[in-house]
Amino acid sequence: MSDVSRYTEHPAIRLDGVTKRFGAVLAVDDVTLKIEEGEFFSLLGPSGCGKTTTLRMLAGFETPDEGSVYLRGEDVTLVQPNKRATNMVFQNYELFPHMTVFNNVAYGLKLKKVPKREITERVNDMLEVVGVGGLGKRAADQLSGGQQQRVALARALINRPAVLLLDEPLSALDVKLRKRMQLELKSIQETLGTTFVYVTHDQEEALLMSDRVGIMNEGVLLQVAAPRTIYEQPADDFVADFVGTLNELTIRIEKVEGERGLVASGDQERIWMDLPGGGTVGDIVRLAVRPEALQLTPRREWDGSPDLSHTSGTVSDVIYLGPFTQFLVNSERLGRMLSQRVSDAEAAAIRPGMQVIVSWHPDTAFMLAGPAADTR
Amino acid sequence: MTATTASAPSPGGWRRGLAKLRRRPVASAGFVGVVIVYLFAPLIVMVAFSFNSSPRLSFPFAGLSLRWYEEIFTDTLVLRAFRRSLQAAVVTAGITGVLGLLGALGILKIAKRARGFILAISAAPLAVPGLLFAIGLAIMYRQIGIERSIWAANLGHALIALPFVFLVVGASLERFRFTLIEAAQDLGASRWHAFRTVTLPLVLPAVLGAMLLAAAISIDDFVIAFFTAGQDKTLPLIMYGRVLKGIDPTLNAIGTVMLVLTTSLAFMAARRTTIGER
Repeated sequence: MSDVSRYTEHPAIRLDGVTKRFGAVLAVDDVTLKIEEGEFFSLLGPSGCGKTTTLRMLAGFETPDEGSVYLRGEDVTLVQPNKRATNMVFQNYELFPHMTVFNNVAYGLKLKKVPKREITERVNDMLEVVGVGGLGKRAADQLSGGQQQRVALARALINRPAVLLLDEPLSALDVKLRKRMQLELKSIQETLGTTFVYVTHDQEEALLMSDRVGIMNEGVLLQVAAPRTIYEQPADDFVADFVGTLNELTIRIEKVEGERGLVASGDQERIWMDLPGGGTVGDIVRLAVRPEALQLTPRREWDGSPDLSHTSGTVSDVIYLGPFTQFLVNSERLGRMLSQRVSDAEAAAIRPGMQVIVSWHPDTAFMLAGPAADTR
Repeated sequence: MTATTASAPSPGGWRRGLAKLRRRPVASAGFVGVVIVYLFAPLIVMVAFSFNSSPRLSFPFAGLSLRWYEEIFTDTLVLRAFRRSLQAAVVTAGITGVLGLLGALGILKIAKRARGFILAISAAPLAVPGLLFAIGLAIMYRQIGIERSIWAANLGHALIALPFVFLVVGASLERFRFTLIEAAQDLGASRWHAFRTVTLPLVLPAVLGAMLLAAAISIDDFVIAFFTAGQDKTLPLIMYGRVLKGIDPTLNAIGTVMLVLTTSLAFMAARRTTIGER
């Protein structure tokens, strides 16, 4: 542990072909993954996708049926949770209700036989860091949700774990507090430089906080990449759909120009797409565009920019969401499309029944069912 | 018309008042009152006569006095029985507390479906008349050669109180969040340390409450002691002996002491077990 150089040689965490079954259910299916020292890594997926089981195997609460778990290069697959240099922030915090905040946070240090004076100092410092300084004497069951969350964080971080594991720690908080805690967690992580492994089913949260995101579904790790890559170049349909709303356009290629395909070249319709592997006229492809990439222009104001993909349609619904407004558009050729933009004067001018041109930059669209996996 | 509306204390007038009156549950409150009087009348009579200075058990009261209390607290027979009853209560609470906690912890390790079955079986003795247990015990004691004594009665008390303790402790553990133990282990605690610092302090209130309940059951018991205590007479047995000789005013005093003892135990037990919840 004293040899600092060891940390840099090995990733903080390495999972090697880890598989876990519960009876007949395959909870985690052959997951291989490296998480670097100091990284904020999120495991993202719907409930039951295996992300929490993976986290619990990192903590030592579950033992993999196959494969190995390495912590800073050391095989900890069979090591008990109390002997691992990991600490966990539980979904429901799990503060000890019969203890004060101070004693909750001091629990790990007392076990390590840290001198009393040092415990007092470190606990008070840590309570300051997480923003609940002065609450030490409070009973743990007399805290608000947000305060409990901070104390749970302090109780784990004070042990200076090699890796901090967080199991949906913000899911019990209301939206406003959750948004604030997301930023605070991120900044605490940056200040302390501790490796965070964060489990969540909230894609926005994962994209906002993480250095890298791993997306899981049905026990399989589908893609591991930086948030931007995940969002803009999803590895497959599931990832694309899970990290945000998609407009799925099924299109028949009508013309190929080099590495670009063209559909329906006409006065009010022109759709470009990248065909990195080349393409043939007559191929049916599935193209995906995010709602915020779709621009709406009233048909009579359309200047016909030839570089933009565009199609014509009729606005069927306008959904006001506060900062954003969504528009449902029926396109003659492509069916129902969802567009989203900031609620400004232009957005307010668009009304149901209006004839519009839906346009987007060809680079913002991507093909579905392609491989393009990005696993480091 | 205008004058009355101006002077009316509240808008709406008499109609509103009548509606309010109708909503007030006068009839049901009266009915509950009758039931309560019926339930408590014997106790009230007993407590009242324990302070009556005359040995005649009839109204009107001759005067207030503590002479019956003085009499029982100087009567060595009563005092000895009182001590035996207290001893039985403490021993019963001790045995059932330990067994109840271990049993309730053990049952958590058993699969959910089997758990329901075992809980049902262990609760079944509650439905069996105490008399049957008492006779069974007496026969069993004779077979294996255990003399009738207060200790033999203690074991019997533990037997009839154990289902209560088991159920109360079991119910509290049912609500116990076992992830708390994981949290302790995650922070470096061994299984034993986690049990000692987290599980035990959290279930202890329920265990103590259940033990108080067991003590109350023991003090209250007549049947088991009648068949197994032999010459080591507990308070209820002493009272029974006196009743056979005719209603004696000291009975009211002994009864009142027992009443205070058992109800305060039961009250503390109820408080403990509800505070223990979370």
